[in-house]
Amino acid sequence: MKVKFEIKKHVLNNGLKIFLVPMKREIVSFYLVYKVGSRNEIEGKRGVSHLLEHMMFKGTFKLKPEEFSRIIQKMGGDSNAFTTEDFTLYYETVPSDAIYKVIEMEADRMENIRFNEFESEKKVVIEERRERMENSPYGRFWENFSLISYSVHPYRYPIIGFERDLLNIKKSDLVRWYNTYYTTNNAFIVMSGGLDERKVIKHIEKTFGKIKKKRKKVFENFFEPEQKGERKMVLKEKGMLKILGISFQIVPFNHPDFLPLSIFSSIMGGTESSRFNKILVLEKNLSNVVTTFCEEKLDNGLFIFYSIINRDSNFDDVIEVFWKEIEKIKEEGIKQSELNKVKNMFSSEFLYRLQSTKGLAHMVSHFELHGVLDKLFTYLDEIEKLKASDVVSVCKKYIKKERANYLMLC
Amino acid sequence: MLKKIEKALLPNGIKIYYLKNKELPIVSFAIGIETGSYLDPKDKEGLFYLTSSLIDKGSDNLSSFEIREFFDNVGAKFNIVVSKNLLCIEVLCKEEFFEKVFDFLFDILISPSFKEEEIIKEKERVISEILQEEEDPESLISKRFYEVLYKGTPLSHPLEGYVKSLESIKRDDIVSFYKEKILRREMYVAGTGSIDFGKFFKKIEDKLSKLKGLKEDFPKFEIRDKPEKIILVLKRKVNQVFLKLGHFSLHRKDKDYPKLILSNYILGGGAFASRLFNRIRNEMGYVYSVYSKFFPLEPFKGPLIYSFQTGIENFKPALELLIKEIKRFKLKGPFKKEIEEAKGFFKGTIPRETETYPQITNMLLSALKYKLEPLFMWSTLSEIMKLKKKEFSEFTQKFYDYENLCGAVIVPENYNALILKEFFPEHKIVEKL
Repeated sequence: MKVKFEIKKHVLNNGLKIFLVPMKREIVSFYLVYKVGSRNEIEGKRGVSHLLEHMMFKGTFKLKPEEFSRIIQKMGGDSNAFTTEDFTLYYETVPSDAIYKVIEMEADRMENIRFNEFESEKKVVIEERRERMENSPYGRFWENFSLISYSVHPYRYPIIGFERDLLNIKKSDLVRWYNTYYTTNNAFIVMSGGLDERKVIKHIEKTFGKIKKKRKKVFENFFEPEQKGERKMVLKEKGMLKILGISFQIVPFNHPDFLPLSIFSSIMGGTESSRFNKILVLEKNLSNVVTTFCEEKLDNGLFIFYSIINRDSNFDDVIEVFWKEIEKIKEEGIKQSELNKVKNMFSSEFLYRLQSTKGLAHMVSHFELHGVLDKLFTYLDEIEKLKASDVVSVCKKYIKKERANYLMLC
Repeated sequence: MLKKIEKALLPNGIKIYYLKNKELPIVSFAIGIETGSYLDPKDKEGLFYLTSSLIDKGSDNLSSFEIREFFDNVGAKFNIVVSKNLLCIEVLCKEEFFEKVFDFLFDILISPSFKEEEIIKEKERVISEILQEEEDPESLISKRFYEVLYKGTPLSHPLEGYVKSLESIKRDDIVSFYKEKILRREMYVAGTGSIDFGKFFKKIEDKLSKLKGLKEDFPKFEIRDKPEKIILVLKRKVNQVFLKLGHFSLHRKDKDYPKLILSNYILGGGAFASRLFNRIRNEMGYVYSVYSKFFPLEPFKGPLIYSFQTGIENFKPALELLIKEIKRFKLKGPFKKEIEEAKGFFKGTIPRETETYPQITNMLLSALKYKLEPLFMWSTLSEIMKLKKKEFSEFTQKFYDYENLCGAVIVPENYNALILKEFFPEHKIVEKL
């Protein structure tokens, strides 16, 4: 399948990169990615990236608190933002003629935010933490799962931070974070949809182009010692919900082993007819839900096995099936039909993503963030070239008992 | 492009809406069936949900695994979506596989095997799901809210039913429900894709014409004009209060529906632009999420829901503010400026909500479900654009009924729920495990 879209790249003098993806649409999606997330944070101030993301909606010298979103909505668009371990993304989808206002407002808040309503917004984030992490069994599971999956790497901490961190963060911490990371040379823009390229670039030069480049003082000293033995945690909640997670540290998204690992995870638990679904859900009835996936990260992400297991099932039985299947792969390999099925699914998924301006902007941002934008055009060819032996080899390399982390919530 | 909607009607009454879109070589389609959990017999609540979830768990010729494998092999997305008032089978696939996928889907639909072993497994799965959802306050409160709002009607029980009712369901119940309450109900098909309408139609006609005796047959039951004044209180191990209050909404074809769309956006549906969000979250910092929402539930009256979660210390002032805002909105209606800003938002929704193939299919399916013209989004928009401030005063007075709210609240175990009496002196405050 040939990929039918083009990406036009522009770089401003201040280092800001812009990627334009023209599409026949009446709307444009605007993605502004700052290369900072919870991975850059330090002890006692966890959650500062996410809190800053909230503060970005609290006004500038020109705009009142929340006026940014109101203007976008008034123009017929939608907007939001989210923070991950690796980056913070602000995005808008608006009618094509409204894109110029979006560009002006995003450039404005790249250097002019006022940190208004800091204390009340901190309360909002504390409520968000309670709602998503503390009062949801799934939130509690994921928070603890990260904690046992890494020993020292900042990926082990929640993006939203702990309540103690949030109470500890001062306005001056946010100002420092903003001045350090929200710079033209630590960000990039992706725009996809119906756009007048020349006019858009001219407008970006007029707005973002005026922002002075800052010296990069980025904290990127990440370290995770090699795991020498398995780690286990049991979270006793005395309820009916039983969740099992098994994780293994793998490689960054841009590593050559990542693609075969993704294929491997799809074969094991990424589809309705995957091996784990067949055995655990359909045949043995041990689990209600099972899935496996690879986290797409800048540093070593995780291969994750996640299963909501039946109330009468034992964790040990599911773990036994897990290792039995892994050993089977290591000894017998995978079938060509399994590989073909997953390849077909990857290519369909890729095609489905081309439907929307957001889908395309998302893919382009993702590949650019990981420094492999050129691979977006060869992605399907690379998948096609993968052999069954490549998949087996990454399984042998990364899925080992001494590298496993288990979390059991029951 | 969107103007060229093709329409067709099969002799058995199945309506078809289709839009050809050659941008990508893919086809999206959905089969809607006029059924729902409101058809569950008393004491067998969950029968519709259980039956629907067994459709793809094996047919006369195929095992559950073979069915899943087929869709994965062709890279198709296949979902059976159920709600209180609809069963919808959604598919997204590459153009080259459309015919194969439709044939396959039809075979599953006409001959699900409902094997005893699959039924036992599925029942166990649903029971686990019910018990597990009890531990998630967000899922729990939604279910309890509907129980209160639709009290005494077949719309009150959760889709999944109850542990006891599921245990009483036998294979015969499932087989006869499927035959009578799913396969013989009114159906419609919506689609968008790169193939010609002729090809799409031929395939549907070839297969779905075989279905006979389809009828629209809604059970008759009364839904009160106003909900009963009850607030259900559930005590759980939480450190926030979860609240859902509401009353009935309007039918989709009600002439005031555009007013409801616009006014709800201003009150609580318009996220960052809404009054509730600005007052309760932005100005006071009491909550992370707060909103009002509504949706049609044809042929019945749908709900209007107010929802927030907040820390114990903020519950009283947040609730006070919520009621104050609803009251103010009811009495004075929206401001002119708010109406104009909301109109700006709605102008932009159509290109955003008709961008992907499944989005267009959904729009056409809604048109069929609510018996609206295929391009109803445009006509609703044009009605919204014509609305003036003076038209809202009567509407908001009549519709936003803060005195007759009902709902459910989850509070921490040691919380004194009688605080609710201060806000709802005439309501029954019912504490339940």
